[in-house]
Amino acid sequence: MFGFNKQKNEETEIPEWNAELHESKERWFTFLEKLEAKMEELATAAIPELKQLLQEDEDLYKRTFHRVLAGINGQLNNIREKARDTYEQKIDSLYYDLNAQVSVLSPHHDLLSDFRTACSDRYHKDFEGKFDYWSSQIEKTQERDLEIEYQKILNEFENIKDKFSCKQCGGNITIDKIFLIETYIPCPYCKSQNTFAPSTQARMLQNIARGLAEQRTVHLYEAFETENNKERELYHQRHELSLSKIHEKDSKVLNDIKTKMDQLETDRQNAIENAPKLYQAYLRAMYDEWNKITPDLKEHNEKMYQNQLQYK
Amino acid sequence: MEEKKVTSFLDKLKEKAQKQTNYGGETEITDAQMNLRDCPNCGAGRAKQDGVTHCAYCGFEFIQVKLTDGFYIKKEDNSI
Amino acid sequence: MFKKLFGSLTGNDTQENQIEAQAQASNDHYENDYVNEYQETEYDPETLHGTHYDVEDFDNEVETRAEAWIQDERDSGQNLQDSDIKSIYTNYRRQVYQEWNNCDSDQMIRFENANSLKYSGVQTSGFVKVDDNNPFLEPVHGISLRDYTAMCLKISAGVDYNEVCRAMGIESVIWEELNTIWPQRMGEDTSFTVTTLFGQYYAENVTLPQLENVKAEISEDGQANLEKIRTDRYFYEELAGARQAAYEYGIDGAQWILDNYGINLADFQSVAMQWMTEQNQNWNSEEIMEFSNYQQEKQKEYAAKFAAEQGGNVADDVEF
Repeated sequence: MFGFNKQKNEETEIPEWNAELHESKERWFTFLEKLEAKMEELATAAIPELKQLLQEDEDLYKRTFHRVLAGINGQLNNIREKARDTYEQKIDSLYYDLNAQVSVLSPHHDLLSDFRTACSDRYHKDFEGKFDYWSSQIEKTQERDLEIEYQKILNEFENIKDKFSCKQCGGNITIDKIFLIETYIPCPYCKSQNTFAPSTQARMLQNIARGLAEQRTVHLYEAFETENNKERELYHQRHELSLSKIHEKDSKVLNDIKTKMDQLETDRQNAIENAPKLYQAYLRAMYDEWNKITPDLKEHNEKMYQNQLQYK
Repeated sequence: MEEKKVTSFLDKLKEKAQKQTNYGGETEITDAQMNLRDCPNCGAGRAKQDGVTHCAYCGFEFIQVKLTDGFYIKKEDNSI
Repeated sequence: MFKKLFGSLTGNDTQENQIEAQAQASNDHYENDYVNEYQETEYDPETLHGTHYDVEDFDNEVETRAEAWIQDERDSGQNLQDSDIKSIYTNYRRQVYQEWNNCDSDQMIRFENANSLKYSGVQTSGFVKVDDNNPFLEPVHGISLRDYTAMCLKISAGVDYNEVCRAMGIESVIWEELNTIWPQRMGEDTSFTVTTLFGQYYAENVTLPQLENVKAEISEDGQANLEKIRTDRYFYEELAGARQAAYEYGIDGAQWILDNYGINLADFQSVAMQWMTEQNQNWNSEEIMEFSNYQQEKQKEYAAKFAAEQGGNVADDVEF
């Protein structure tokens, strides 16, 4: 308060707590590095194993695979929690402790905020970025080429469609489409109602149809995503340009910048307008594809499509 | 040393996952099938035009509900 | 196939997040709480509106305030989306409700739950009224949503579906139609009436006379544990936490609960829905936080146990 002398000291000398900050930062960086190494080690070991398990899992719902996948994700989350808890206990608490002691007006307060920014960026940007990366790599092991499974279903159908006969009169019954669930099929000769139960494999068609349709229209989805991301990119580019203007005096250069900025803004507005159109194009194409795969679900799917358009 | 920890963890996890029973038991994999249900009362079959809910001959009730327009089934499948 | 329904039933992610968000929102409101000691507001048991005013007046007041704000925003060149307008209305509705009833934020959330269909077009478990004219609730092949739920309960408890079909006097062809059409309707109904009502029936553990004698096997211990999770919320939260921890260690939580406590998935989910419904009806943010913290604590305890069984977590040796 009245310590003018003290303030003078503060200005010249590096405060002793700086050493503690420095050490904590070093430790924090090393700690995260080790955790990142663990994540990478775990993921790189697990990914090929998961892919193999998916291949080998005989269960219809691939439940063994999913249990292992959940276990791997559990460990990944465990690593993430460890980082979060440690950040709170070692970094945040140190910052708050010192922040309560060091005035914001102190010339050394920057040391403190720099410490926090550095630790936070290392954590929230780098570490979390790596976590997201490995999580998505692990998620991807679930992806299967659904064309292969679809082809198997089609082949099976070709094989069985003429093989059935009426249980009453023995007349041939042709199965005229892939039924998704059990149904009554009358014998064309004696009209007896037979009950047809599709194979386990054929029943899976309902489960893979949407995924397959998405797989087939992924290029349209990506086109939408690219357009959708443009808005932010263009915004940032424009922002950078606007910063470059600040120290510029030359009016010709300033004019050039302005022209470029205007162009970027026009592009940005176009992107804002285009993205929803591309999304709709994707959605329509995806549902069309889905309807082709399972025409019996068309009525229901069209209602879902309308809802999705409305609530997007 | 560290490498070993991850590998042994993975091995244990896999072993444990494979050993577990699936909730609800194993899913049975079946082929497509065609079946026919005769009237348990008089032995008659069910013909398309007679509907599926009752036996056209003795009136035996195959199905105790009234059918509506469903996924494949239509209300015309009710016996009169 | 009705497996796909469980996502919405367990409500694990969505419901809990929703609850957390709401609990959070209600905490934010604490500062604005009015002193409530001498407050004797009488509430309509259905709408939870105070009985000292007309609902129409209330709605008009909200509209007047919201529209004025919207006009202001537009005048200042703001481009308002539908969602912005919705949240402006929500905020004024909360404001007017708290002002007119002089109540705390928990009462306000109870009011919002009771009126979610009217004001936001979405149902809340515990408040669904059955409307006979709702086409989504038309019986399918004579089987109502309630009947269908009763059948699902038996099947997820482990009874063979053929046995359930026999008891109901239907053929499996019909069950498969039911099990296709009801989930389809749940998907199509944007008010979530079908899904929420299914959950409500599930919570009530509904049954039918025809199904009285169709029973899943349950051990004596299982029966006792089931009774306990129904009546002892802490025990329920403990098992819910344990189940969650199990999944994270590569163990099928549903099977783990069955193996260790003799409770099948249907019964467990039913009790989960029962607690959730009760929570919606008697909204109390302090209590919600308490149970949520308790579950997390238990989840950690069980996680430590499962970790020990597999020789620790992979990053245990990393120290700060």
